[in-house]
Order: sequence, then C-alpha cells, then structure tokens
Amino acid sequence: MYKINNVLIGFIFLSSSVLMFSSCATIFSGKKNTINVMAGSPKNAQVFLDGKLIGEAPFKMRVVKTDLQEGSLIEVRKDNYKTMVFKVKRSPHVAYVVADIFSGVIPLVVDVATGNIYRPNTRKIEYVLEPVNEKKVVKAINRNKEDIK
Amino acid sequence: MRKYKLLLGLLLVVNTLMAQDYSQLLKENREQKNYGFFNVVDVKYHQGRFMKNSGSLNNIMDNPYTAYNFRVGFQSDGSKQKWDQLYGFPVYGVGFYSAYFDGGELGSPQALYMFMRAPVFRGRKMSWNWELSAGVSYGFEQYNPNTNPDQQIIGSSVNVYFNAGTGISYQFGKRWDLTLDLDMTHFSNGSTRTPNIGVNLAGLAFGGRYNFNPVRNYTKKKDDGYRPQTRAAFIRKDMPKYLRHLELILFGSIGGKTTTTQIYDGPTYFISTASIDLAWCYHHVGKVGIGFDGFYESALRDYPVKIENVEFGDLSYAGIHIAHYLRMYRLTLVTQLGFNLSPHVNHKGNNYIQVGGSYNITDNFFARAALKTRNGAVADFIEWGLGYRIPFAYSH
Repeated sequence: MYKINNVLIGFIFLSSSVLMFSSCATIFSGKKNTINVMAGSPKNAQVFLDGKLIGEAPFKMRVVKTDLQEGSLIEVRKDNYKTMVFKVKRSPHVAYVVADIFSGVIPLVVDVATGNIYRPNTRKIEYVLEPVNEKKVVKAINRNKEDIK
Repeated sequence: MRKYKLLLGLLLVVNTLMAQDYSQLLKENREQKNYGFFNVVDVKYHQGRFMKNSGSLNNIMDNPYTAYNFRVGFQSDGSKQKWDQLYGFPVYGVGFYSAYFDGGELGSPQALYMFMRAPVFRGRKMSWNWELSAGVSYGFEQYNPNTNPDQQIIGSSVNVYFNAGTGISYQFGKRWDLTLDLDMTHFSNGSTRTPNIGVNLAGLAFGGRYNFNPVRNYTKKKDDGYRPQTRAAFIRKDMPKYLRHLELILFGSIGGKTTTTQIYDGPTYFISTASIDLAWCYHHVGKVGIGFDGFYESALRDYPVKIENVEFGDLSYAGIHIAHYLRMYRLTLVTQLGFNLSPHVNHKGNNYIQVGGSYNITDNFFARAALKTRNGAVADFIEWGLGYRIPFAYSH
C-alpha cells in the first residue's frame, strides 16, 4: 500500500510539474498550426503558402509552425480571378493566456518565451475572388449557355 | 524526351526564382521595425512596513513585511491602438504576488493580478513610471472567534488586491532593466465579510526586468543569423482632434454588505445605489463631473440602532459627489469624492469615496464595479451595476 501511494504521489507530482513547466499552449498546440480555408467563391481555388501550393479550397490542414512566419503570405488563386492575399499575423490567444494565469503565471512565461502563446490568424480564411475582367467572363458564360442550347 | 527535360528544367528554375522572391519578402519583413513580439518578465523584491489602522496584531504590524512579485508583460508599440500612444506606450501584463508576514494570525497572502505600467517621463536610458495593479488575493488566515480571535483585521481568506506605485527604471544593456519603486498595497473585501479593517502596506521594491522577443523561435529555422530587436520602437501617429463635450451619466447598482457590530456570521444586507452625473469630457482619456447619489441600505434597520416599523426614508440617504474618469480602451477608472446630505447617517461621516472600474459594453452602455467607503476611507460596500451615457453639446 505504501509503495502504491508513493508511486501515485510521484505520478501526480511528475504530471503536475510537466503541466506547470510545459504550459497550456506549448502542450496543446503542439509543433503545428492550423490553416483552415473555408469554402468560398469561386470553388476549388488553389491556395499557396509563401509561393508553395498547399491545397485546393476548402480544406483544413496542420503545418509546422515555423512554416507560418510572421508576415508569411497565403494566396488564393484561380485563373481569370484576382489573387487574394492574406498576411499571417500572430497574436496572443486569450484562452491560453487565461488558462496559463490560473495555472500560476509560470506557464505563461514558458508560453511567452517559446512564442507558443501567439497564434496565427489562419484558423478561418474566407475568400471571395473578383473576376479579372467581369465583361469577358460574362461573355464566356453566355457563349457556353448558347453552346449548350 | 529532350523537350520534356527542357520543360522540367524551366519549371525548376521558375520555382527556385519564386521561392527566392518569397524568402526575400520574408527577409524584408524581418528587417522592418518592430518585427515580432515584445515581452518582458520582471521580478521584484519588496520590503516595507504595515500602515497600522488598528490596535490589534501589534506583534505582526510592528514588524516589516517582505514580498516578491513575478510578472509577465506585453510592451505596446502603438501599432494597434491610439490609447498606447496617449499613455506613452505602456506595458500590460499579469503577475503573481507573494508576501510574508512575521506571525501566524494574519497568514501570508498571495495574489494573481493584472497590471499596467506607463511612463511619466521617458528618457534615453532612464524612465520614471507609474503602475497600477488589481487582482484577487488568497491565503489570509481569516478572523474566527474560536480559532483566530486576535485577528480582527480581515474576515475573509480571499480578498481584493490593489497596488499603486511609482518609480524609476534604468536600461542596463540590450535586454535588462533595473527598477526601483515606491509602492502601496491594499487588501480588503469591501465589507462583504466583517471584520474588514483591511491590510495596507507601504514599501520599496527593487527589481530586474528582462526584455525579449520570442519571434526567433519561428525564424531561426529559416534564417539562423537573424537576431530580432528586443525593445519596441514606438510608432507615433497623428491623433484625431478630440471634440470636447458634455455627458449625462445614469447609473444604477446593487450589492451586499455586513455591519461592523455583527462580525463573522452576521447577515448580509441588500444595498442599492442610483446616481446621475453631469460630466465634461475634456480629452480622449479623461472627464470630470459632478453628480447626485441616492442610496438604499437595508442594514440601517439594525445599525447603528435597531429601528422598529422601518420606513423607506429610514433606509435611504443621499449625497453629492465630484468625480474623475480616466479612460483606456474600453476600461475606465472612476474616482468620486462624495459628501453626505442626510443627517440620519451621520455615523458614516461627512464624506465618502467611490473607486471603481467600468467597462464599455457599447459606446454608451457600460458595466461598473465600485467600492464605496464611509468616514473617509473605511470600506462600506462593493456595488455592481449598469449605466448609460448620453453625450451632448459637442464643441467644434
């Protein structure tokens, strides 16, 4: 019984130490950040991160956090449409800040020191692309309609 | 086959050129001012004396106290809010406070709080700052008639923590600051439990502050040679002209209080306040006003004398006040100095103070929590309320 108690106390001590010194954002956010591109107009637009194709909208993916630099560019492109550009900006995550404070401030120091408290603004990217030349696109659509008839 | 090889080669060259474009762009970003996040961690060691306000616990109150503070802060640079510039680019943050009192009856409180530090004067290396902190403290050994009867200072283990200070800081190298502050700390519960004489401390705090920019955790993989700036450069913008105006402020609140004669397990009485203020808004950050207060306090049926067949007039009283409002973002620090108009509450003294914080829910609608005192600065009750502001008479 004595041994089991010791093991239990040891386990609780170890887990609370790990939790305290590893901190909320550092534990729960991991080494990756989320890019979530919502369904927009037009459909199936291509999404590029700093010039590299990462998917076709809509999609949600996790990328290594160092790939999302402060000021990285996420571009949504589609032929015949103007490219939409999002600049990656990180800001403190309120929920993590509150959780860290109630865990005793030290976790906040760890999260701030590692930069993990700063979350990128890529969790909900919405896009609506403007046609490059609306008249030309409308003409093309009409021509298609006539072809169908 | 040769054609395909040529095409593949061309694609590779285009990709490399594009990647270079983007890495050049990121490099340019990094070279811009204020790239990254500007944070500070500071540690302070406090030593000082109790500001005695009662004859009890002399064995503790006659001795010095020691305390330490551990804080994390975010340095504003003015890029987001005009308020940063108006207050001289303050640091906001959260902290942990722990005090040691020599003697067991009072306990040794700890506190979690939010703080703001802003400069009065900022030189090249040295600055003179003011600081305000507010939060929740815990760890007091509360009054108990059976187990802790000598402690007649504070009736609850969880109390409000409030600290105000001013001091100098000196930049010591690229990352370090040394700080020396004179500060006052106050703990009380706003008479939600009696006794509530409160604990007041005054002392000196010596500390060190470390400035850092954690953006390198993101950049080092891409550009190991890059070293980010550790101190923010302040971005100053043209302020929009402030249109001075008048404002009518309507406010109503409720709360609870205990009385000083029914300590420890006395009932909690209902209180309510209604007030109307006329304020002159003279600047983005401030306004001054005068106002009228109407109070309803059910404790008056039992204290200072028990009233039989109580009427509304016996439980209500009035006052007038002068006020100052200091605004930042959606928060406002409210300070009011009031004067009693009702003779039947003479036991409360001639004047009272109300200190509180309000939060602007919309442009006109706000919520406020405030502490009202009696006999000058003795806590009377804490009130929670809602209010509405009506601006008019804009000057052009």
